[in-house]
Amino acid sequence: MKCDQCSNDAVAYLRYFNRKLCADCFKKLTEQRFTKTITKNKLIERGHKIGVAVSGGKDSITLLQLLGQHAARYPIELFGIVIDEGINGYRETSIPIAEKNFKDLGVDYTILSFKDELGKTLDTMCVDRQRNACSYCGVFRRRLMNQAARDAGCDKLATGHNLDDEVQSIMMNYLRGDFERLSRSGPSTANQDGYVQRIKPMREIPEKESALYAMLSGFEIHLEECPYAEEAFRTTVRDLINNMEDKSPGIKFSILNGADNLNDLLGDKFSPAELKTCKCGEKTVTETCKACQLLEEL
Amino acid sequence: MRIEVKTPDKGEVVELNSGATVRDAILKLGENPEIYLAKRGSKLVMEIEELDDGDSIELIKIVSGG
Repeated sequence: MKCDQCSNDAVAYLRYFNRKLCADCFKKLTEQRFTKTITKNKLIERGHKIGVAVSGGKDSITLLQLLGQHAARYPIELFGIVIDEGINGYRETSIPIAEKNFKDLGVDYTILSFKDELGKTLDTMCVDRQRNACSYCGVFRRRLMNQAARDAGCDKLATGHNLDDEVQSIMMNYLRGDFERLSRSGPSTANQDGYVQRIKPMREIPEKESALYAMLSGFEIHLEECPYAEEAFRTTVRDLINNMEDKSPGIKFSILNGADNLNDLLGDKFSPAELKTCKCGEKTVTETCKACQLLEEL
Repeated sequence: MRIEVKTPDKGEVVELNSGATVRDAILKLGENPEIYLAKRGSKLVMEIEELDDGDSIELIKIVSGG
């Protein structure tokens, strides 16, 4: 089968467009989408130092490599951030992949571990736990990513959230009736003192295309599934959305666009809360930050 | 026609009608094509590509997060 845009052999089928693309046309489209998300949302400015959260998986490696292309054209600096949650049999293989990609691109990086920073690995936290693993992991990972980006003097913190991740978060917030949290979704977080603003330049790239881009580009990536994934509510929502997408191609983009439009309305209702300082020194909307609450439980 | 389908967890031979595609093979396994890329030999193949009797394809699961 041939590419719908040139005469080369097609390797990518975009069902929601009903288009077949060769490797070059597909990669170009993905790069254009990435750049468009950055430009239309003003995610990165000249002179910025961008912290890049990298796990070694396909999304974060694609993010790093695409930002590397961006840095070759614009005066920005990249700084790699790896969080080692302490997941036995999982992170041992993904972290070396992240490090190899940093070294190939000449990007400085740091690795923060739950063990060193919080005193316990995620595996240890999950023995006799009261919550599912993702509840601990999400809160502590965000804490350490912010800490690393702030300590390195980063202006922004880029994460590899793809279209599927974004749509799952939107649906989870809908299903929980959490419109305040829904109002905080979008291409970037609010710019608040104490927090390095998080940006998501991959949010319009479907997960499958992020993987395909990485494979067609020959990037070394880690493709194992997190051993705690099956117990996550996100996994249930992911399957639901993928079933809908299979029946109605394009629905993921529709959900994202709908939520972005809704956010324009919700922004007036839920303005960013005033931040207090937790006893640990971090900014928080409540008296005690979520990380300290969880650490007390543990 | 008989198609061998290898997934990260198992290998299975599925019976499909002539003209069936990679997508048909994935659906036959009860899986969702949204979470797989497919390879025939060393080459990535699109889900709309037709299979031939005796083909062997490898499915690569692309979801990784939790």
